[in-house]
Amino acid sequence: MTRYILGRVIQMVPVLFGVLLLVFSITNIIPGDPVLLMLDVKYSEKEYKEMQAYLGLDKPLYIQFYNHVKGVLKGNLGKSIRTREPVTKKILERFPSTFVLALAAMLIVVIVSIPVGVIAALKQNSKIDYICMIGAEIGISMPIFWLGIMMILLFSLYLGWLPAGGRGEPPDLLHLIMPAFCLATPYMAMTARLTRSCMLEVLRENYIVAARSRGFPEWQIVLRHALRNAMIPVVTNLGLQLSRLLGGALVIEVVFRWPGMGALAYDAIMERDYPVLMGVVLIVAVIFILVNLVVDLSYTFFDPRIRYDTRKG
Amino acid sequence: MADSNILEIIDLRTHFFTDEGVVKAVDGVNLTVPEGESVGLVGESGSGKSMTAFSILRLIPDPPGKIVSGQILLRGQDLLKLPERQMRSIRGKKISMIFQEPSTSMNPSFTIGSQIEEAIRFHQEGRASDVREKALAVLRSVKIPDPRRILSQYPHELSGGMLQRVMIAIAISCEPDLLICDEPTTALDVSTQAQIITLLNELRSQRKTSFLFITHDLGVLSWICTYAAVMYAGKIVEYADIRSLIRTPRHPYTRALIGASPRLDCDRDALSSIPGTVPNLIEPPAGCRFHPRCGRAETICSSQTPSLKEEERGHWVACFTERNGDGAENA
Repeated sequence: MTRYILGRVIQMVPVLFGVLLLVFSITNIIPGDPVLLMLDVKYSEKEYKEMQAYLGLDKPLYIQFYNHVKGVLKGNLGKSIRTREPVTKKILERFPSTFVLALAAMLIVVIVSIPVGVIAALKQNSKIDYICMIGAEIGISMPIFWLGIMMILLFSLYLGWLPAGGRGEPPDLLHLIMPAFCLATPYMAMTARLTRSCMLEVLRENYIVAARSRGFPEWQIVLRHALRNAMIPVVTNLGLQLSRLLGGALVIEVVFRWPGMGALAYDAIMERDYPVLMGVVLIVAVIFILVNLVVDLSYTFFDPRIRYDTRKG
Repeated sequence: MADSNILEIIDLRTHFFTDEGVVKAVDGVNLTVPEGESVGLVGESGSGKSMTAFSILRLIPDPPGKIVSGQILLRGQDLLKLPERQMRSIRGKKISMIFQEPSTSMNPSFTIGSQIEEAIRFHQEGRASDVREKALAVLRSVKIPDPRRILSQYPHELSGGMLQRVMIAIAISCEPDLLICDEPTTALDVSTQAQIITLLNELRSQRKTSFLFITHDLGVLSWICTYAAVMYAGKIVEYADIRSLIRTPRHPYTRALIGASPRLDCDRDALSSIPGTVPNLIEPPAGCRFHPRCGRAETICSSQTPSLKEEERGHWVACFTERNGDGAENA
């Protein structure tokens, strides 16, 4: 097991290097010059050169990349072009907000969609099943930025129940409700549908009939014998979704002015603050890889047929 | 037949309501299992054997299946009239079942021990340590080597034969009165089959459990059963003790079935086969359901349905051509 984890961590190195290279290339390919953004509208050639040298952008690209990688290895993600603050500090400030948002959304997904999926499977082809699945269809179909705007219109402007944006001072649950729910919506829908189909498949298995033949009550068969086996693909999917939630958080954070890493990345793109952008992407990539590792390890709990070490049984 | 019957099935009809029509999988089955005996239920695939077994435990998937009429008497108590709650205390406790494919009939996510203990704990009171001892005892009684180690293993770590022993252990763990075996040896290789049959025979003589043994293998049937019923297209066509059924089969279908089975003691170049296929059970042939495939069919066979009649003492047959002058009756 330890060997397996170690192997996976070593695998992270080339992946992260690739991520760094990719983001560095993209920031240099897309139009927009950070130097110009830092200068007055009227500037001289000399001022431009000075600013370029100050930001370290006068050197050849490979040197810039080399310096960047060297910094990352030392734990230094560089300084913001705009504010000259260390990127690490900016990210650390914003990370808890995104973490809370993603976690809340994930909790909503798990708490709502797994029971919904199970109930829909148990009542297959009933009215409840149809309502759940039509709801899921709508949830998948709506773009979350649109849903966010509609929710702000309804709950903040029209009904005045919930705050339209921000995290509150100090941060409170009321501000979390709309962004978390909105972020969770497409994932809830997908997870509910997946849970339903996995559950239907498992309920047809021979071991379920065998469990029934032993006289166990239906709830025991569903919750103990079926759910655990049906959860294997659902957990895989939740893991992938948790990573994708971070991407969705970017949009949601902008819509709800949620002060997280997504909003930070958005502002960084708008301001051509490339060190900040590269830092955020790198951290998101690290989280993505770690989450996937945790998901892979969690299989051993759900499915005893999976073992990561070659111990003889 | 014996004086006391543990199980008596009277005119059981189990139908499946599908989009194509009503599939009459079990259509008027009468069958008795005498106390302490082993009754075989034999027939081709799709003849309704397994559905009869599932009907006894009321495990027919509903929808689309439904037991539309009949009685299933366990020591005189009609199981079809019991509320679901009471029925659950019959399943696994009074009637147990073992299945065709041991590898898919065990839950892959739980250890063997937890699955055996779950069954024991559900039907019997007892402390955790007693339950564990009981689990070890049943594993020993099905002759599993190193039972303590097996308890902590998962189904995928065991062979098919071992898993079938575990299935049998679970089935007998609550000392049922009746054990239904649904082709328990079909998925196993021949030498393992022999071991499992021997084990079942031993358990039957030790524990006085009655068996309903479903198979399509006449060899297995004659090895383990004292009585046998032949099923064709949802109906029982012949019922007798195993010796007279194998030696003097009366129904043309039974004869054909025996003719189609390989035997070691006679030298034959080719096995005979039964012409045609099992009929469509949505619209079964009128009259005797076997008549389109029967070499001895008469006019009456295609218009009227023969019912099961005791032609000789203890030998019941549903066939007009076997009857001497008592004519037909409408069924």
